[in-house]
Amino acid sequence: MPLVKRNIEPRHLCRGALPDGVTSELECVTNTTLAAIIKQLGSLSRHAEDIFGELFNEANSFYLRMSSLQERVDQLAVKVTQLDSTVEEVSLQDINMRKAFKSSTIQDQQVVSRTSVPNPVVEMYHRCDKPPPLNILTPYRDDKKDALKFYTDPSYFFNLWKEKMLQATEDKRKEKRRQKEQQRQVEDPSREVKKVRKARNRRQEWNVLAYDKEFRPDARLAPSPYHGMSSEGSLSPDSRSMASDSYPASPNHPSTQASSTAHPADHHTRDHLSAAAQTQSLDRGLRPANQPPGAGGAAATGRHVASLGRTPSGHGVQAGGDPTVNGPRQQSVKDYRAAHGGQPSTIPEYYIPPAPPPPPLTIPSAQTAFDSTNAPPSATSAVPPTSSALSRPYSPSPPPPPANFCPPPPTRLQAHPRPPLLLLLREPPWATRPTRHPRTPLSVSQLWTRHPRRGSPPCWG
Amino acid sequence: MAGQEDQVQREIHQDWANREYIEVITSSIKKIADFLNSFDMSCRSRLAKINEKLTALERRIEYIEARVTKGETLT
Repeated sequence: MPLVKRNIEPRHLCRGALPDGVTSELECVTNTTLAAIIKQLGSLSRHAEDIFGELFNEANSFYLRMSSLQERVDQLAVKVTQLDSTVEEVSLQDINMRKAFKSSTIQDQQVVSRTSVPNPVVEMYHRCDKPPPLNILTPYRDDKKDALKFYTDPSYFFNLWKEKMLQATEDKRKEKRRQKEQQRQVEDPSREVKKVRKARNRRQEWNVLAYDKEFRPDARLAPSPYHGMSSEGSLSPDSRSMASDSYPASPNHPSTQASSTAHPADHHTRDHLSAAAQTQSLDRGLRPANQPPGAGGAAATGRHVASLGRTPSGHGVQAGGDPTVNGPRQQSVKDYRAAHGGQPSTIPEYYIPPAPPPPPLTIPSAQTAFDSTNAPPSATSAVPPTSSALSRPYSPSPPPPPANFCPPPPTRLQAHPRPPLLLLLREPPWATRPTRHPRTPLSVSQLWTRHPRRGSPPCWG
Repeated sequence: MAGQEDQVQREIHQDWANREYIEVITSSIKKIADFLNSFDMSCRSRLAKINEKLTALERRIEYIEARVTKGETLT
């Protein structure tokens, strides 16, 4: 049952003992009742006065605040009319050096404290029984604590909360110290620098890694679409041979193809195998990227016009396939495949973007679908194996460059609409394809031979 | 005794009248108390709304004042 804030005091009007010796008792009761009514009216008026007083105090405080606000508004209005934009400082440095705005409004604190208890409640409190006077025992205690505190302590909860807060701050401080210690132990300036570099130049690093030592990009070397052919082993032996046949002059075509079945057609093959090229796996798109710059330079003369991702002309076939293609190129390739399905490879000249990161990429599911469909026809295309082979030698590390950019065939330029880069899935360079075999770097000599160095089975799709 | 019975009847009638009178008074007292309570509640709710608006206004004024005045720089 809730506590009643204001009780009108004579609760029962007609109760009370009748005095002795009255003749008309009914009249007596009536008079008693009327007297109680008068007392009730008295307490009622007291309560009413209390109510109005509280309301008045609150309204008064609002009035004061409002009047001060009114003055501030008036002053502001005057000040605003005096504003002059020509005089105001506009130096950029000073703008940053200005003190930040800090509001001076304080939130309400101690809202339900002892001091904010309303009067009727205080009176009710005083009417209650007092706790036993245990304070008189305080001088006899050994620990000199207040004896009454053991019986009833009004500040108990506050003390509890205070201790909890202090403990929390202490814990946070310790955590910070611990983390700082850990960071100091772990942190290595060189490593940090490395991290920064990696974040900034990852793509360039991948491109660099994709090339073999001989084909590391120099300023003089033209960007070749063949750099970093990431033949993730998707090229079939047939396609490899075909690829090598198709581009005999290009050193970029690795003689041995990676196992990726998804690299059925290099961009080289695209030139020559229109129908087959379409069947090429996703690697095709990646071919151009994976071509080493040196080899690509040779091949690029004829072929590589623009990066797969960037050139509007789409290589319908290659675009779809290569999951290992670096970012945009990969995406564009994939999109293209999706868009154009089995269109002949009319790959315009692409500028092959830098090779993707070394670890082989896993083929996204969508692309694996493509790969699976395109895997059989990939046998017809000779380019992929060569392209994949090309990509291998340029990655000095065992993990082959993942990006298999297929450089567009220079001869065939079809107006394929450029697939939107953003739509394509970009698999992380370090994603590993489950079916792919790691490409092994091939020597330069092997590039020029058209035999697969290793019989890594195409594992695309 | 008819006379006494009359007297008693008269007293009882008078008592009834008195009680009705008392009842009217007490019901009025209850109405007054009820009105005071509702007045208190409505006043408090309105004052709370005013309080909210006042705080919002105060914050806006403070921000505008900060924007308009030329602030001091850190250095």
